Amino acid sequence: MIFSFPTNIAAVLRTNLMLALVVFSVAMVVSPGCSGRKKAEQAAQEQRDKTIQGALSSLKALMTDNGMTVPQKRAEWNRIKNLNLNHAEVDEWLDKVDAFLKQEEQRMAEEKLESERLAAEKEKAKKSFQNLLTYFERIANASSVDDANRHIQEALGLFSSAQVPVLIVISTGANGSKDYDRPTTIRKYLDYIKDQRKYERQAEPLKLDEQGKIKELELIKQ
Amino acid sequence: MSRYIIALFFIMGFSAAGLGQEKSLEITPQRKRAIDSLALEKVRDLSRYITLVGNKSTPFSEAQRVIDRAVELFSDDAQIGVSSLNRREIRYFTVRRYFDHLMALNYDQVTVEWYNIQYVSDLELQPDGRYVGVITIFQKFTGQNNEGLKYEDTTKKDITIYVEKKQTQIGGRLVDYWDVWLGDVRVAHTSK
Repeated sequence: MIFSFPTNIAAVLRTNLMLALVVFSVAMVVSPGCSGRKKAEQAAQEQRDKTIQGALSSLKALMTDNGMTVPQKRAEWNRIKNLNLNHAEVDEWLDKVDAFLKQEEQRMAEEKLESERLAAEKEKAKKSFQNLLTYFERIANASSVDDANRHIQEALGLFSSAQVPVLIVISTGANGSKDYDRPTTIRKYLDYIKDQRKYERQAEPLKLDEQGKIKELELIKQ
Repeated sequence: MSRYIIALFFIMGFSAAGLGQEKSLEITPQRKRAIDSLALEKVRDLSRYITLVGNKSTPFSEAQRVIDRAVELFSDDAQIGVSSLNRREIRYFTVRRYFDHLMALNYDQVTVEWYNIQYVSDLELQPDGRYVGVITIFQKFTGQNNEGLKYEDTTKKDITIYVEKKQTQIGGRLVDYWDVWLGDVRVAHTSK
């Protein structure tokens, strides 16, 4: 006797086999995709952790004297802020560094102002000395005693008083130490120019008072 | 015996202190040149003051002021010797009296010229911390009146120079300076 399946059973089996093959194929295709996403997510997380650590390290370095200028530090701070890491510790450090940089920027602005003020004062002192040299020359070359005295009176107008001290440097040591002649006053020095018909042509930056008048003069002997 | 040892220690201590002070007052060649030059300049300044006071056209008030400046160049007890071809003795005056005498000379024109101003004895450090030297000058004096009478002589004079480091306060800070002043001006010889 020949054993045979009924035709419908064979069809069911065939269908089930086909279905199993499809499920197996889908499983084969889908299963590796799931594992890749996890890996990608893990890699992304690792990258973010790395970025956060880098940001924290950079932010901490910005609070130290790391060789960067304040504008360079501010640019680095902006770069980290623009990363929008949304991380509590990073945000805390961003605030800390911002406050620190604001202080530094204010200090720099004040230093700049002070340096501009000093430069302006130096320029003013330089002009004042040029003006004074003109008087020295007029007194030394005056045609008469009266003429010299008139120039002396005018020159005294540049000074806080006739008793303003005048120091004369006779030599400067290798370490910058100065040797002076016996100190005198501007009144006596101007008379000296009149009598001796000579004067010193170089000076240290003049010291001026609030009214821009000379309050101390340090001349350098040639 | 112990007293001798203590005395010896004292002497040694003072000598060492003295040497230390002397060493601290020693000066570099560059500084020495600057001080030498400053002292010569003071003598040239004096020469100019003598010329101004001797000049009959210098107004009296100016001459008085110049005398004050000249007096400041000298030590308080300094004297200036005056000689003449007409007498053997050399007269010595205080600085102010010398200038008064110069102003009162009975000539209508007076010229006093100093030249060959140079050191004959270099500045040397003394035990008291001062430097002392001697500068010599030659002075040509000419006095003339309107009647044509003229007197001329040339005198060699030796000027003692003192230099001492001092300190003063200027604008709230201490300033070290080299004080140079002149001592006696002695007549070495006078000739026509």
